[in-house]
Amino acid sequence: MHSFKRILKIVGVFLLAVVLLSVMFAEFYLQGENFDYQDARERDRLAGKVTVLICGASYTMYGIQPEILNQRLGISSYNVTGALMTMEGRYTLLKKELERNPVHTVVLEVSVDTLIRDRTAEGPEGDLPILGRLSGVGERLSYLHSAFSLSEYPMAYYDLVSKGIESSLRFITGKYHRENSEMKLGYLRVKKDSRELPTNYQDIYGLRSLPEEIVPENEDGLERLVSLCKENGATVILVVTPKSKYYNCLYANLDYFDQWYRSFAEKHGVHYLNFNLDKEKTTRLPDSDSYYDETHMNIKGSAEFTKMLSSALQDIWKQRNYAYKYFDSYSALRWSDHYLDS
Amino acid sequence: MSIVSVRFILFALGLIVLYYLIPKRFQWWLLLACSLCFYCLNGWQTLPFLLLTALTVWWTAMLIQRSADNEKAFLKAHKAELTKEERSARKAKGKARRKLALVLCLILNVGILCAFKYIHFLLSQVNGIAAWFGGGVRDTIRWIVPLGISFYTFQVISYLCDVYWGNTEAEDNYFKVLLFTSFFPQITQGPISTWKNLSGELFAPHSLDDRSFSYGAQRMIWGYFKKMVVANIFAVYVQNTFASYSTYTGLAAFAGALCYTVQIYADFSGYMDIMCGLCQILGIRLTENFERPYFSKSVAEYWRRWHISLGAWFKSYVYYPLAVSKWNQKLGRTAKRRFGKSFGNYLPATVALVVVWLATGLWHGASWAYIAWGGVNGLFIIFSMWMEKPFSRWKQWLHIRESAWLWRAFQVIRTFLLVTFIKVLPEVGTLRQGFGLWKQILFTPRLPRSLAELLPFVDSIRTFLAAAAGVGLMFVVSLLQRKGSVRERMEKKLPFLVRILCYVVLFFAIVYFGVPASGGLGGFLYAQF
Repeated sequence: MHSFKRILKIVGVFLLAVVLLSVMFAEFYLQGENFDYQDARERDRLAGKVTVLICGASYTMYGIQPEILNQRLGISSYNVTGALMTMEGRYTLLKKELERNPVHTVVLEVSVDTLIRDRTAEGPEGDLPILGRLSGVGERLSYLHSAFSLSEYPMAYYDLVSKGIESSLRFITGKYHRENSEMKLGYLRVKKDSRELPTNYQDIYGLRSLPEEIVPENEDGLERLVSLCKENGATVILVVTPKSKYYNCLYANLDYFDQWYRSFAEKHGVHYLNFNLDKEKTTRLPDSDSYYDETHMNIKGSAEFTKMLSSALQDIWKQRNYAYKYFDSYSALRWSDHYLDS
Repeated sequence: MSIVSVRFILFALGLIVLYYLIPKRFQWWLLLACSLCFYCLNGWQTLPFLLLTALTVWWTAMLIQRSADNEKAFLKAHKAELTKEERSARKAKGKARRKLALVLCLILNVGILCAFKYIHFLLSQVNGIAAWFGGGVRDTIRWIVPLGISFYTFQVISYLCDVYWGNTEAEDNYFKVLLFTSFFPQITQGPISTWKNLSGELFAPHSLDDRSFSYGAQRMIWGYFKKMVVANIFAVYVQNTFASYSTYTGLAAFAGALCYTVQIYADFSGYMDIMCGLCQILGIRLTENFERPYFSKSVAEYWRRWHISLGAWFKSYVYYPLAVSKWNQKLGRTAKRRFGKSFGNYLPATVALVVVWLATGLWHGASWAYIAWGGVNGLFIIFSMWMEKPFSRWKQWLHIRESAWLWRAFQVIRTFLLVTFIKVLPEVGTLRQGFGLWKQILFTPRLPRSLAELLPFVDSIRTFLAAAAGVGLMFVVSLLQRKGSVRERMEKKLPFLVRILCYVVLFFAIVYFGVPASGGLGGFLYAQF
């Protein structure tokens, strides 16, 4: 019995120390807002004022600048996005913002990745940052329960504690910020250098294909998002952000996914805009200075695209005909004047 | 199931709780159930081979024991009736029968080991020769190698030989032999234990002891630190080096080789610490496998401190039987007559060492690179043995004191460098690639112009510094271990809370800096053998 009591004492003290320090480190991280995707405080400050929400993954996080939308359209918009954002993450953040803001339009960013990424196979990388973007222990525990499997809890613990230790080190070295200086209204200014993309479009046209295996959970997740928006009285616009011309030429089967989204939009009575098929896209967003990689826009590109999006939103809100501004398909785009010229 | 996983930790926790809750007479049954469960979780398809090995060894040991016991009883009962010649004849006949049983069982089990481990190597050699004649054999064999077959086969061989030699009595409970064969803490990477050492630990009842629990837990955390913070980080550097050494300067290639030396020690000894720690919590003492090997003063001493149980196994079951065998002794006497006393004395040991080291190389891997590695190790040991007297005379002539710290430091550094060179030979890939790395280290003398050129395999300086700090900590602990158990001294000198804090810091270092086992980089190195 004496041994057992001593063991309990040793284990108890050790676990207590681990738990206390873990909580301390986690708090350093959660209070610091010094990681890329932490914007809970900013959204709390804007609560009740946001009228347009943008929801998606990294294409939108780097691609749409709410400040430009706000200036051009006289609205209050917010970019609720994050890299590798999962369906559960999008739903959770979107639901929270819809419940506390008078949102009339939701721009849902969609892409090939939205349909084919398998959360079960890829793991919780996209869900981990969401824990930092929620407020309060209750929300975080609830998200942990809904988005993570039991076997992923250690990874969530590791992620929180690691980021917490880094935040603590920043605190010690005087680089700990209270305000999130990386993100503004959910838009993250890209820090990477632009990469020169190939221009031999004739040679690479249709060289590769993307796997046409749509994960059923993703389709269900998208339907859930659309239903959520409609329940809150918001107009839903599905948007495919513009990718580089190199990307659009390289993959042979982009029409498969475009058709899928058109059918989905028609079935659920929502708008669908594929900006890769925008007739002005090639001139307004040239590969030479609009992208930092094949699929993500740089600061210049995102500014230009946001202007294009603001025009499109006006067309929808004023119920103007905008179909003529877009090609019907990637095939039609390919056959347009000198499209494959370098 | 990886040792470096939450699943294993939960498995271990469950075992510990159950172990001390159930009646003590069922404790070894629980260990057997967990060992078989552990084995099945790593591939149940090969379980039959483990069971077959345990069954054949148990049955053969029983046969040998009964034969010896019956013979003893018969001779005792008929002591007055039998003549000396009749007694000798009976003994010889009995010994021959027992030897036959031993040999057949060894052939079966070593045959299974060779079939799984060396079939591809053998086929490639056969194809190499057949190619000269325009022929060849297609290698379509795709067997799953049974987990730990190299380790458990050697362990049961030691049991069988000990029974044959009368060093231990055969166990009549098959399940106890099965536990001895399959005991999960040592099945993937050893240590290779003898029946005498392990059975007393496995089958004795164990009561909960706070000191064993505390020391065991501390040792496990230390093991995880060595594995996840040091070994797994250095694994990336080693992989980069082995892939790109031809583009490195000599010093950079050598730095990469040093990383391998650190990695394999941290990896292997980390595993030992985790498993020995777990066994200590259960009240079971496993054989130690390391004794600060990088502080050795010669290659021979290094192999008495590195993978101690394997060296002991080869010494007991290969070296001594060969060295004292009649034909080897006859060879020694012939050599003594023809070439002198010294030659005659050393020759039997040399022959035995050559066999031992070639076999050691082959045990580590089925390739010429590993055989060459074993041969090089053996060469250094044999050379040291033959040159012992001349070296002694030279040291006297040069007035070198064995106890002088400068001389000991020279010996330690010399041995460390030799061992580093020898270690990397089979690890780069083929033998040719191993020699290529040696050539790069020795014959590319260009000095690196920057730290990046000295350490081209490092991707993040911060991670490198963390791993280097880990190595520094390991070095300090090794120095402290010269004077006895560090844990015991910590208990005497440091307050309870300070000790707990040390391990809490280690825990968070593992969480923050540790690289979990993933893909091909994070698994334990010695499990591949």
